[in-house]
Amino acid sequence: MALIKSKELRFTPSASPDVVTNKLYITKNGIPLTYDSESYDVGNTIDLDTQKVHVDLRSFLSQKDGIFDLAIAAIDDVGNEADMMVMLAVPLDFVAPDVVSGLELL
Amino acid sequence: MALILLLSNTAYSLTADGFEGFSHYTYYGTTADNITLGWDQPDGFDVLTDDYEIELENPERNIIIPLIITLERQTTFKCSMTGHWIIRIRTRHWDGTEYKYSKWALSTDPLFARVNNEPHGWWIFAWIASTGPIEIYSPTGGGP
Repeated sequence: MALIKSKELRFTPSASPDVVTNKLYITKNGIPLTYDSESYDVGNTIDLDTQKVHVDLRSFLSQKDGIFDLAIAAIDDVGNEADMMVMLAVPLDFVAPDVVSGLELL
Repeated sequence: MALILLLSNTAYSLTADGFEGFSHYTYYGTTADNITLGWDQPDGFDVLTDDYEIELENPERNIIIPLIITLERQTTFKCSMTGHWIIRIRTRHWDGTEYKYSKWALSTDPLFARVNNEPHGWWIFAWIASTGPIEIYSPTGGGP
């Protein structure tokens, strides 16, 4: 089984007290990010060491290799979403190279 | 007795979707912002005012939240939830038997409220504070 390097997205959580979770938005190939873009609930668990929310991107991308636009929006108890915090043109690659062949002892 | 509400905060103006029909001035901020509310009694010191009772009303959620009872003439608070917030304030006096109250003065009522020192109703629109910037971290180092 191939080994895929992990890649984390991290952010300081919203300071609003009514935030219950965060949503990760993803687009590829320069398609503009909107609130209708592909999205995933990534929770609001704060790492005690960094005081940030950590998201393992391997778990969320439907396409595993490319240049992605990413955004995070905080969500309150009734589903309202904050303005997105955006990071554009992020190169991500969660595809291992093809396995070698022709292995032999010489 | 009348109360004049004064507001000072660092909010900025935008458009509130769905609430354009109201003539109230809208102060914009987030639920993480500290908002300082001030008020005055134009008739000067009132011996029948023991303290002030302040509440926050959110018309979208149909809730009223007690904020504070205070002797001071200003207070700092945060809007605990998203949406529009109207400030309600009244004076309170203990007559030895029970509390007597003035009528509620609403921040949306130009009779009591001011914007830029002119009589004008106002409310606050609080939205969610954004997260901090995104960082990409590779626990094992290296490139993409």
